[in-house]
Amino acid sequence: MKRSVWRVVGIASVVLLAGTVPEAAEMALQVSDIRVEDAWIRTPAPSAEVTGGYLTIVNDGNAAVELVAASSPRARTIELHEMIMEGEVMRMRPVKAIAVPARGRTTLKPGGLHLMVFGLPDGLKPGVRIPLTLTFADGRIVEIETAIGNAEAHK
Amino acid sequence: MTRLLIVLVLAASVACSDTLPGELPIGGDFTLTDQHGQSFSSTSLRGSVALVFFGYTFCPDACPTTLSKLTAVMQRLGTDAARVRVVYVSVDPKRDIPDVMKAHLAMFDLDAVGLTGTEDQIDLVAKQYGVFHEAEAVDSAAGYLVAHTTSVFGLDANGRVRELLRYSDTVDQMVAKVKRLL
Repeated sequence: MKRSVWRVVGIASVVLLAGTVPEAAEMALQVSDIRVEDAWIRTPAPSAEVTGGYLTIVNDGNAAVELVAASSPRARTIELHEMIMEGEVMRMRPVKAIAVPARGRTTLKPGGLHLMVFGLPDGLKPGVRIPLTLTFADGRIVEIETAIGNAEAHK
Repeated sequence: MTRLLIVLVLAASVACSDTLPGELPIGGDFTLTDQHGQSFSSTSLRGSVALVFFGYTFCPDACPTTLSKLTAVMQRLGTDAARVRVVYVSVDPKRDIPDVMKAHLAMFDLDAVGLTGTEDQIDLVAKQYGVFHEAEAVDSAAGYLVAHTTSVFGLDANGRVRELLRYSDTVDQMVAKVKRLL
């Protein structure tokens, strides 16, 4: 499987401006505990309002973390959703947070937890890269790039 | 609630086996509107195996997964695929007008029929197939989402429901079930 890993960027410089230097250094260390692997967004149908986004969050830290928001300058809004099967009936529900255990990982994948991505521009083709910002409950922000793709390439 | 009960009864009746020797006590003919805006009668499926399932295009996850799997099933069937039709019935007719169905199906390498209709027409077909569907208001930009049965109904060449392809089935399992209908 092709695996892309994006390290966390960006937040350290913001913290440097906002806080003291030791805090910033500590924050930068914490931030690098979270990695995102294999991020992709299902190719949206022409003029489709929604599509799904998927990724694996790897938490190398000693404390659990919670993803609480996702956003992208290319999407109108992004929500965290889960799919629940009750027998053969499928339900989708927005969720407030997605937990990633300490020294563990959580995968958002078709048929389970996913990002519900609203209002991407029309005509996005597979391979197009979309910036994505993930916000965690403790305020940490992870900036990644995700690619438009299809499920077959992410088995 | 009544619909839920129907589904539960159906689920119980088929729980022991996916492959009842005869037909399942569901199904029947219907007329809806296809993705080209034309009237479509299920009687036109006679002579082919039909894989009928229910979903909606605003569903970013389960429905594309089913469509992707069925695309793989059709590829695996090779020349037999010419005797199999895939029929996608929307349970969200308010949003899924024919043009929306057409654009959605164009995403898949699958020659599927996409059907929609009035809410009453959809309710009737869903009832025939024991399909639960329920629009749920949720705290989401989507406004509402639709809970629905994910099973794919396998109809033989005479239009009788003989196989149930489950959401959890692998492509291999689905191929085996379709082959039993051919």
